[in-house]
Amino acid sequence: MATHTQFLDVTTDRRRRWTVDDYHKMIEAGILDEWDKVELIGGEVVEMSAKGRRHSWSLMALNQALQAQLLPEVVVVDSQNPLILTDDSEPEPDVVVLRGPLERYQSRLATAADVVLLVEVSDSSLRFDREVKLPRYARASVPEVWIVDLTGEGGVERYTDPMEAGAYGAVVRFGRGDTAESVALQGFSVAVDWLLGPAPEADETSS
Amino acid sequence: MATTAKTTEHTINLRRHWTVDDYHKMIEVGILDEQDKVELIGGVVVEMSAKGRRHNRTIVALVDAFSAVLPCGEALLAPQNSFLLSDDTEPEPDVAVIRGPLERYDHRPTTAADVLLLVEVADSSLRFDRNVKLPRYARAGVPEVWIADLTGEGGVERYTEPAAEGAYGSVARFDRGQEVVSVVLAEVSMSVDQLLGQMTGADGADAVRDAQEGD
Repeated sequence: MATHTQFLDVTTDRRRRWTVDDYHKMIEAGILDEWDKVELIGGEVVEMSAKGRRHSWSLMALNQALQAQLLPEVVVVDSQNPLILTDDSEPEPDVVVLRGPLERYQSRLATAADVVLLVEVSDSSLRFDREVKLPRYARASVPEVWIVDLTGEGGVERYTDPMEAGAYGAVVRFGRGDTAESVALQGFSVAVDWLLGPAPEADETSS
Repeated sequence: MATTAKTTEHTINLRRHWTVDDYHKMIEVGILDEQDKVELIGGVVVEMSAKGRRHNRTIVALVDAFSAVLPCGEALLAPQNSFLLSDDTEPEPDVAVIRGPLERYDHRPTTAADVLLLVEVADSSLRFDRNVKLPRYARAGVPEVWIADLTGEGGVERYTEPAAEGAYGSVARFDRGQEVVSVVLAEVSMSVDQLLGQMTGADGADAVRDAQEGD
């Protein structure tokens, strides 16, 4: 509707931006609770899309691959936990590989400086992940980000070389049949087909 | 920067929509405090623009003009009062005239049903007031809204006959040299020039001279 577009257009500059502190207070006060699937991105509280079957599969496959291949003393695999990026962004990435040991995180949340590798699994959220979250990861110096792209043919995008300007200097896309390899997490690789699961046919709409 | 525009575009559908309850809790726990000049409009907490000299002067002129004519006790003047419009909207219009007596409001907030006439003074906020707030006032059934437009030549827009779909059925614009008359409050009539003051401020000396020559 025209009104809706106009509304968004005109509210853009005026919208109140929230800090990580505000966001934590909202959680403490119960304005946001565990049922709320939200993250703080660039001062805005955004709702995370519901996970479909394929999204869930990719998460499982990725977690399993990471756990099977890693040295636990060096890194910690974490899934769907908040990560403090900056004072106005606290995303909840699908998977992060953090510097160990685990005890580091007993009394504080992980921050960008702790991240070795971060993975987002994207279906309907692809553009948001690429255009809104990714630049923020780069700016916060997250060394390596993978976007597991479940749309269309599917594939895995690997971003390395973060720049303060908010972009990654090196991008590689792995397609079906390829093996995605990590740069930051040396020795870690996983078959793209395994991560994506079988190519979707009739289930495009169901997930 | 391009990044900002993109953020907006893609965040649109994902943005958390706040309710009036959420908003009140934010105030209670101090996420928002008295220093924060904000209102809740359509589930979005928006910052109100800082009031310039002309904006302030217009509010004073409105308060002065209304208080001179309002029937004592029956109608009350409520400048910068917040109104509960719907479950996701609680604006703070510049000036409102609400039903009396005052005791009505001892135990409940003011709502759209209490409003007789409401005025927004608009400079940089003109588009926001017209395109975002006005439709919400119409939907909530606010019977009459004035927008005192401080941009350009200046003027006062009067909106009446609110329709549930979010528009006003009747719109009149009063320019400099004219008197703006209320529909809902029969006794209210005031000079546009007096409300808006001389054309000065950021427009500088040229505007003053233009205005004088125009007379």
